[in-house]
Amino acid sequence: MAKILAVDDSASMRQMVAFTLKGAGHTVTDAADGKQALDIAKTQSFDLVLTDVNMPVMDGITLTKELRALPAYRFTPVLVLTTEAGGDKKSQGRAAGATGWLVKPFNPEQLLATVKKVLG
Amino acid sequence: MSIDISQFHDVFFEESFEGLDAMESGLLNLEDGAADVEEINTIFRAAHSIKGGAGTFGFMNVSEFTHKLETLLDEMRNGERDVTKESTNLLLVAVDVLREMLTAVQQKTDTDDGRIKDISDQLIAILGGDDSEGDAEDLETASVDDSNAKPVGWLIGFRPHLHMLQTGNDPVRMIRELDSLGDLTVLVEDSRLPPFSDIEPEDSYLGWQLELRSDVPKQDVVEIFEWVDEDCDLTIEPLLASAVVAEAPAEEVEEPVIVEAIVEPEVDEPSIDDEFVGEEAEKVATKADAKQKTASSPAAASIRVSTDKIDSLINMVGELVITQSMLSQVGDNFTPEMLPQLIDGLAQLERNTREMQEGVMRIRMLPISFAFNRFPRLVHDLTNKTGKKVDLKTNW
Repeated sequence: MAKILAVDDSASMRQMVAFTLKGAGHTVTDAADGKQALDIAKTQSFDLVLTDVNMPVMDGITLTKELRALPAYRFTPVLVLTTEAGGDKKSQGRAAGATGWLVKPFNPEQLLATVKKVLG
Repeated sequence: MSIDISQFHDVFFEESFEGLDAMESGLLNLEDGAADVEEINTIFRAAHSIKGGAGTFGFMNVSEFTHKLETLLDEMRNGERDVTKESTNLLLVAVDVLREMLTAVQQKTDTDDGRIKDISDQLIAILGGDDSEGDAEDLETASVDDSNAKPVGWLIGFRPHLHMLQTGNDPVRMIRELDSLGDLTVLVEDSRLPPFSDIEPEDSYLGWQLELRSDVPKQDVVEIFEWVDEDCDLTIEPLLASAVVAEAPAEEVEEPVIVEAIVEPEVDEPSIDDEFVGEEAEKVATKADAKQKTASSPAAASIRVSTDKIDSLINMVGELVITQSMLSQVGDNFTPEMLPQLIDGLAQLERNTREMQEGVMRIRMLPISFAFNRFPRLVHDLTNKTGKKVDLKTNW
């Protein structure tokens, strides 16, 4: 099972994501903003990063860029959780090097399906 | 596996009400001319979180209403719209409505649909009548698929661009996923593979011709490649009964619009329990006031307490337990000589009890801002109503 870093400034979303992923047997570490996540990512390794886009201190797009700049995270799947269905955030995510996206609102089953898709 | 997400509702409500308070005080600051981009961003983020959470937890009417606020705020923070008194006032009222809607959902009571529709219409009007429901159209074009042909499967040409691995996308994953859809034949193209000495291990040189025999719709195949459609050359052709994998045509897919549009998972998931009935407004305008009163004073069902305070309480309880066992020892074989011990013990018990009482009271105490933060909004509403300018100053 995978080690996953889940980043969201909303506590309810963090809980829902962590609960769902833990239920599927993954190990989940969470962070409330990009800066916190980046600090954690530098001290541990993860198989997958799930990040919200709009967050205080450091947003998810910047986090993705910063992660890609770290040798340990060049190829790590990074999924952005976004409410924007339009192409803009997707192309931003892509430009920042995100692997893919999951559009909010999503339910636990969709989350698991997407994570499974990335981790195989 | 099915997960009951209602267990996260309490946290969602708690953070949403906090978000609404933050929005309100932010909006009041905006009006005072003290607006900076970070302030608008904070307000926007609060709205954004509420919208996302409401959607996730199934409160679609809250999510839809918040979407309008969010759009307005987004235009403000991008500088596309000036921060006017009119728009901040409307946003403040919208925050009130949102608070009422959330309270109604939380307490499972009815909403004032007339008022919601009214404010919602005002928001749409200020946004220029654009309800930004454009996604639906995209979806319709998406569903116009080549379903008239009856293919036995799909012929997929997949040539990742050199950098694709660096997005964290692994071609093997997509091939494996295709394999799960039906009977898959894989043919590797290695024509781009450079001499061994020139190979960059981080680049992807291989391409694939994939023949998928399955009756899945094209959309299922497109979805597998949705994250990489700009990081590869992709062709998806219907496989007719007689076709062979080797002679796959290498044309581009001609409808990139479809590739983009099909994959809006947001739209195909309206699975939600309707707490309210939609927009059939305009009939309950009069019940409003009475209901608002109950709605606007929700007793906080939970409060946040710092772990320091809880830890110190736990220590106090520990001490109390020690005192109690000491006293019960004294009591077990009491002799008159033990009187000083008893008096000591009782004094200690008194101290423990008093400290615990103080500790418990501290837990229930709230910052004074909890009371005082309401004044700016009150003054704001009064100045609007009376047309007089009031400058509120709080000193202590």
